[in-house]
Amino acid sequence: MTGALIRAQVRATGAATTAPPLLAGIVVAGTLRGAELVLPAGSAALLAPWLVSVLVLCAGLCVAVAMTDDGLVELHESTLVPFRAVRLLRAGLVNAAAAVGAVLAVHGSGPWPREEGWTALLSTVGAVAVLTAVAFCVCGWSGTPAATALAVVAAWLLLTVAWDPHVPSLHLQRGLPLAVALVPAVVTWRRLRDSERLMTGAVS
Amino acid sequence: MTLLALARTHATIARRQWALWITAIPLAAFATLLATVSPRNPGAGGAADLAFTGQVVAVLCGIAYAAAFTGLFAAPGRSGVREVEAAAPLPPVRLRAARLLGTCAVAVTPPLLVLSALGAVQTNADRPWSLLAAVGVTVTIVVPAALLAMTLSGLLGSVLPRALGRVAAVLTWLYLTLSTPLAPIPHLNGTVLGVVGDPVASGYFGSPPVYAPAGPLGLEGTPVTATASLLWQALLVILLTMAGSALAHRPRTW
Repeated sequence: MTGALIRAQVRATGAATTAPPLLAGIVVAGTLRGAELVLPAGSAALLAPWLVSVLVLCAGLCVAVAMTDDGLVELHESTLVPFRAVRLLRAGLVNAAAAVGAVLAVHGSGPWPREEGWTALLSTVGAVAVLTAVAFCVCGWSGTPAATALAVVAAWLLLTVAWDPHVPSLHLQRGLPLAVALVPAVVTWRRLRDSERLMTGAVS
Repeated sequence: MTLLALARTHATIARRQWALWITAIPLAAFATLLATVSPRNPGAGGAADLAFTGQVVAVLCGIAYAAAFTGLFAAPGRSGVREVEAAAPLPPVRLRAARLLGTCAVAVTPPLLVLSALGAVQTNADRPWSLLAAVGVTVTIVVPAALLAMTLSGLLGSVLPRALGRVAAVLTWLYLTLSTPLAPIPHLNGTVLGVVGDPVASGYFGSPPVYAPAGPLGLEGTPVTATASLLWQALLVILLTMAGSALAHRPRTW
């Protein structure tokens, strides 16, 4: 059942939402390798965090699309699989693709500032998880792709511009945003259980 | 039915999406906060500050608009107002222009609100024209940038499949607005053709440009170059709308 469910969601979301984070990982690694050759020593490493945050944004937008851009997702409620599970599963698939992309970007590229092994990877994967929680909340309440994408970009800006540069410790850098975003995500998860109410107030 | 009446209808449709407001207002407020604490803010307490804030808001909100509005010109598989429109005896370009203008009117309201708030604060500090300047900054810097980001998003959304369109629109917007002269790639920033609103900010409001003028097209910001820059952005918006409208008509297989 679980295997078939995952395969079904892979078919439904397809390469359209899982390919961009993977491609972004390859492009980031390639760009950093190229920048190492072209730019003066040391300045390529400065590019790395910004390029990886672009990968995070790609993954966040793909999560938003995977969760919303399907008018029939609500109809899942009439099957054995509740649609909140479908949404989470689809987001999980994009997260997995983003994790592979992050491995390619972080460990496939040469220079890395403050290289600390796997923590750079955890920071990237954690950022995608935070954006996923935000997207899950917004699409659980509104359901529109436009608002979900807006919220993802807003959360990404907050993380990239205001939070990450000032919070170097990984536990705090990813733990606190995840904890903050998970509270409304759990509230949304519980709200989506009441399918009768959701079906009557159908959202577009 | 005139273009304005159609645009008003679309503004009403966009206005009723309350989730847009809840996400767009904090975003505009956050961008304003970033601009206020930025070390590059002129800090003179006048129209120059407002223009700089307007530029930062335009660039950052532009990222969100580029991500959000890929369904502006083509939304496959959705029934509703679009089917009614498709059957209406009106040129498709006009319908899409109306959708663009109506949605944009709603999308720039949060930036207008936060800039007006900033202007009101300045008015209290003996700058009587700051509220007018805030409206001026919104109309000449934020609106062109929002229109560009939205048409870009709509065009790429009608060409590329789902997620790829959003990602491509955001990346194009980031490239257009944030590629610095330090990176060895060709770009428009620092010229009169840039979309960040530098000629307007320095020409109309006396704010130092975000990207220093460079190259043969790197003209100093004067009222003339500011007007030229606005005309260039208007031309871009019209071209993108026409292209997006034409491409949205193609039969889609995905």
